[in-house]
Amino acid sequence: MLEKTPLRTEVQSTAEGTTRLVLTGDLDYDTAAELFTLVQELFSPDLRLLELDLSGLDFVDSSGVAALINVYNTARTRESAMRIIALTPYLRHLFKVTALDQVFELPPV
Amino acid sequence: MTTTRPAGGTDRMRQSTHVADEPPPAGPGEELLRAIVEACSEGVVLCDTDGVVVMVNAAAARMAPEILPGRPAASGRAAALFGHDHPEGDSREVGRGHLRLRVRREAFGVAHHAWYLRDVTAESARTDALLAERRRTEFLVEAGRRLSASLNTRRCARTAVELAVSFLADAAMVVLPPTGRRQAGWLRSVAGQHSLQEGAVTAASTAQVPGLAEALAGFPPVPSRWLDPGQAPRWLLPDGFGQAGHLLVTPLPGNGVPAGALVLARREGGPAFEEEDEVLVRVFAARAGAAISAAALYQEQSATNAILTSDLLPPALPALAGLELAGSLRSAQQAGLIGGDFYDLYLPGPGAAGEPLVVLGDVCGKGARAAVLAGQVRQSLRTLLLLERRPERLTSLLNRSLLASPSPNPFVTLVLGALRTGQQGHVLLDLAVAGHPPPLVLRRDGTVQEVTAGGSLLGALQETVMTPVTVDLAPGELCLLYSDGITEAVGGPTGRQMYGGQRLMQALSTCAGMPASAAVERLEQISTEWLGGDVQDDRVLLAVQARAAR
Repeated sequence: MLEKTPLRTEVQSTAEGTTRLVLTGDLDYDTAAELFTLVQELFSPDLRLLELDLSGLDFVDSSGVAALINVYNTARTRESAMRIIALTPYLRHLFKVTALDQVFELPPV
Repeated sequence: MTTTRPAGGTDRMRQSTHVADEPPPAGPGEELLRAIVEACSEGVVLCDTDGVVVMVNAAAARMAPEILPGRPAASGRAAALFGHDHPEGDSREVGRGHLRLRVRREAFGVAHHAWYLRDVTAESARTDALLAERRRTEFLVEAGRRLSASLNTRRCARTAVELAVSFLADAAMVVLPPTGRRQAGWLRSVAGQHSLQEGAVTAASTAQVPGLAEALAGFPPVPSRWLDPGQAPRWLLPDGFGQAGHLLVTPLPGNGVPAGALVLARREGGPAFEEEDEVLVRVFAARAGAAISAAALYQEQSATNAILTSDLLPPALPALAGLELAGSLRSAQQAGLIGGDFYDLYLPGPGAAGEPLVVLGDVCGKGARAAVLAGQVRQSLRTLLLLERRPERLTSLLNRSLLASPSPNPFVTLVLGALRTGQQGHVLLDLAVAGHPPPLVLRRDGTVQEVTAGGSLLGALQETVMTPVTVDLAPGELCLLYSDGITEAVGGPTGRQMYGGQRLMQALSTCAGMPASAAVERLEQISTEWLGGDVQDDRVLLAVQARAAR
């Protein structure tokens, strides 16, 4: 089996009410729950915008996509927003296939 | 290292001074020597050259009262103690009634020899107990090792009876708890016989064995001496075993519920079950019960998994008018995890209008939850098809149904295709692609196109977008539906490359002119080779082909 890389997360506060989350490694069946738990902790009444930097993700499977959808849905119920500020060509293709490019706010090509 | 002189040195100096200064004292008289021998805790029997006893001290008289002065030592009962061939200086142990004596022979000059007797009954009892304890421990270690080797209840029960007859009893039987049919299965083994006997009795019959019904109900074991072996019913003991002399019924404790009962029988005239035996049997039964109940749990879980995976099993693909279908599903089953890929075929009921519909999908996640969700999707489609047959409408209805589902992440990607037969052997495929890799079309000349249909994955968003498309397949042309397990397979020459859509398209183009089943088999083989024996994800392929003109 191909050796797995763990999911690494880095939380940065860029501006008032904005938090940036930088993800690197694999976002898959084994690590998707970690992201979801972390995001639950990040959302506070002050958080207006959650920025996701996904350019360091090596692999994302269906559970990883599910986790991102969960983050998106959580942001909407908390009256906050989620924006993807960077991603890999592979992820852009994945979002296109799942039509999530019409739902998620993505950076221009 | 030290400055103190050894005590021995001082003693020697004092002794030499003593010897030099005074004459040695007179030796003890005969009376004194006799008193010393008499007071000795070891038995002493002094004999002359003919073996006739000259003197017996009190200790020897206690151990062997029949030895009397003036008679040969080795006469009567005492003969067993004093063998002629006993080597001088050596000691041996002799049982004598409930006593155990250690006997040693020493020669004194040419005229006399003496037998020394020591009572070692308590000492050897301790040694025996230690050895027995060691044998019991070895037995339990062996039992633990062998019982843990299987996750099959029958094999565990078999091991338990085989172990029991090797150490504990002449015959051993494990009675398993009565199942739904009120039958209690049993396995039996008899010492010295290699064959295993098996059978079942009604739950009511278990009440015929004293203590068995109680043991199956998990009550503590009844001491063996309370059980009347004469009451044992015929089915309990094997034919030709004879009368049981001693019977011991012990519960096999499981996970909160009894895992069965262990019945041990010893033949009439054999040793009874002592308290130590019963303790050992209880410890053994605890291990056997744990093994049997773990196996039962495992089997239950496997059965549940088998039921769940049956929801994922692909259907048979019958021959349909004007078209060929071929599918392949390779489950990852990684670490016992059930994947969530599936494909299915829905045919309109007899006499009902409508076209056949194919679906190939991938539910999010793994394990039982994924299997249940895949089963729900297949069943929901079956129900929705009673009302709606347009693929893009079906995906939207399925999305709403999934959003209302109690499953935490009911996300599904799939391709739906309604199959129509067109003019001149053409097949028309109305496709809706919901968040899934778009199908590929293989034309007659070997060109491969990606279908332009697309849409949202299902179960995640309130509103879905869907761009359906109709694919026209001329005779011999083929449309391939697949899951991302094919394109995302990591392997190849370096072992680190992703197979990717381009390679799949190239591989498909080499399948031009092949029947659908051969094309699917070839693609599956190429994918397996790419993985090089590795299993990463479920891989599904489903091909729809307009039947080639003859």
